[in-house]
Amino acid sequence: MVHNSRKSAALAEVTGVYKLFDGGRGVKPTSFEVRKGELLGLVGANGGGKTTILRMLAGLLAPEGGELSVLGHILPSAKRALRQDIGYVAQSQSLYQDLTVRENLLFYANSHNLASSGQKVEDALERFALLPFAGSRINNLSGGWARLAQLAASLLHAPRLLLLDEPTVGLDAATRADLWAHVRRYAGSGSAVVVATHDLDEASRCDRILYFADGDLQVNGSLVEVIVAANVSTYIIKNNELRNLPKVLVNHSGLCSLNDERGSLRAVVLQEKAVEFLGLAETCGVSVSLVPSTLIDASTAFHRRRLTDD
Amino acid sequence: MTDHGPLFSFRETWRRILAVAFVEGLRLLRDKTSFSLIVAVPVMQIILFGAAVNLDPKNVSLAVVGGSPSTQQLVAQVSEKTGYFSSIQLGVEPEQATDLIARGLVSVVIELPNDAAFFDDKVSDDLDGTTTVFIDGSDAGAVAPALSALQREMWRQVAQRLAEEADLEGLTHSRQQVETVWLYNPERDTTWTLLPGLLGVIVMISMLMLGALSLAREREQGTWEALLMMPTTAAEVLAGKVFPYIAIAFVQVILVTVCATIGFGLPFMGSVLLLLVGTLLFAFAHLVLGFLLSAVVENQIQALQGAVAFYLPSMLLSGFMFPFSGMPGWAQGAGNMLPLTHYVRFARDIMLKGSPGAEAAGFLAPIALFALVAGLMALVLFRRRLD
Repeated sequence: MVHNSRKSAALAEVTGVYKLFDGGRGVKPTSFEVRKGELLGLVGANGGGKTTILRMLAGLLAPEGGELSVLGHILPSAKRALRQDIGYVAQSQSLYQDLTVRENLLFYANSHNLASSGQKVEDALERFALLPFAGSRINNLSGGWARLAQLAASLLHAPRLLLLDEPTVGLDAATRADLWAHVRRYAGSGSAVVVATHDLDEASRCDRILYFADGDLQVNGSLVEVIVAANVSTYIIKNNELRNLPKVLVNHSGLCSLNDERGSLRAVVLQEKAVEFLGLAETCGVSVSLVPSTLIDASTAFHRRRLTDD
Repeated sequence: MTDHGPLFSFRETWRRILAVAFVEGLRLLRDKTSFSLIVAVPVMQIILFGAAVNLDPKNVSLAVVGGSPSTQQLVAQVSEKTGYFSSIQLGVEPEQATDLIARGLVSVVIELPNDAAFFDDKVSDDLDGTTTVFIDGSDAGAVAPALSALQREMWRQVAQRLAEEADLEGLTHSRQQVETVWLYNPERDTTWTLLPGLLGVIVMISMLMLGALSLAREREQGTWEALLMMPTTAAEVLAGKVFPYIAIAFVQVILVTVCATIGFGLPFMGSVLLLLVGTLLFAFAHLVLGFLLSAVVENQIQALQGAVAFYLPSMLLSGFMFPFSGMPGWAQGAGNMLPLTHYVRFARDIMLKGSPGAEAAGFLAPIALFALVAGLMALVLFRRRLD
């Protein structure tokens, strides 16, 4: 595992924490920290353990072992004390569908005993551009507005740590951008945001990424560090179609993925097999050019390596 | 939030309770299904139990066979006097007796001995013969009160005839009579017996259902996870959820009581305040039982099944519809564990008998005990799920 050891103020410290469910799913012993002011992405395929980690950080799930400290509270024993300082946006809509946006926000404000709760609710409605929908019931809102309302509710009490579970699933591009702008702004205000996502484009927006696969933390680092850790080379095979490509290349053992990309092919190859792949390409008269790898490319490499290991 | 001492903490607690109560109340008002459960169902039940259900069925059909025509006439007169028989057939052939019942034409056949002169002649030792009464046992409940009334009337006639003969023979000049006085319900109107208990049944079903659905619905709709992330404690959630439902029970008490007294002439002899307090305690007991169910089950279907599994035996074993004293010992024991049993006695005492407060309040002790146990168990389970 690659681990970036930059030291800064840690809001959460996870040391050897694990939680395994029946069937082997869950999170294997994992260690990392969440630093003040950062936007931390929990990334990986479905079932990778992201939500389990997030729920343990929120105090919703007790770890089987290891040490877990969030905002100075040792979990799971101090999970109640943690609730005043933490915001959590679940994967599913958790606002009351039959209440209006304003009523939901007021409920959150009063439950957190906020002073001037009415004013704080109005401020949040304005900040999230929800004023036109303040009197609308959640079940009458579009998915995007409902999600923004959920985010607004979870930020009302200005938590020091915000946890988001797949916050943009099902949202259009404009709403995604809007939501990410709010999240980025919040992280920049001195709190920390942990977001679980399987959307690798979105994960690229995070300051730091924890890449999970089958409950194992594979890499802990910046976007570049994750890509480097994947140890992969990406090539563009110009003006070619899959059906024209020689079988010897298509079936090459180092090839992680081969996808159409605007009339060309994008080939992701394991670094240790790259020379062999390039040699074969030259022999077959196929022209290839090296391009920078992305997080998506890195992800296919991680996946391929796990399959090979298994 | 920081610790600002007990007073501040109490204010914070109270605010969180009110926040839960406000949300729960709003959701109830906006949920048409729940709202119909609260208002329409009680009204429908009052109408059905008040105007349709009758535990003292009349209009029983009767045939008399055998005996002399005058004896048949006399039996018919006696039967008519009871007020329970509407259709009386005379002169039916003896061999048709059971056939009439088999074909569903009559429910009761009285077969008189051919030479019997029931009340025509002097009662003498040589009067012989057996009178047989055939009854449609497939619906015994529909005939039993009529037969009982018929027997009473028959014996009254016999006693009267014996007294008249004794008087004629100069044996006695006294006229001893048996007079029956029905206290609290002179007309023996079963509606009066049913309606006080019905108030309990309505409140029980509503509270149990609403309580059982409350938490299960939160879990199914995903709002439970949001509650889990709030500083609100299990006790605060429970307390907050109690308020709107108790308000509903209050509305139901008023609704049923007004309908029963104005619509069905039910007398209200006791303290309205005591009835209100007792009913709200009874409502609370079932509400917390509903919460308890809700904390155990995984979804709304299971919650409803749990509620039905409790309220059905309650209705059967409480003495609300069927006489409590008629049940075997074990069933009475089970019935005594149920709050409805004590509530039925309490409500009848208050409404029909007008018993003094302390006497009627005695029925509330087992209900309070039940509420305490169910409440504590609900709190423990809520804590396990929430804290």
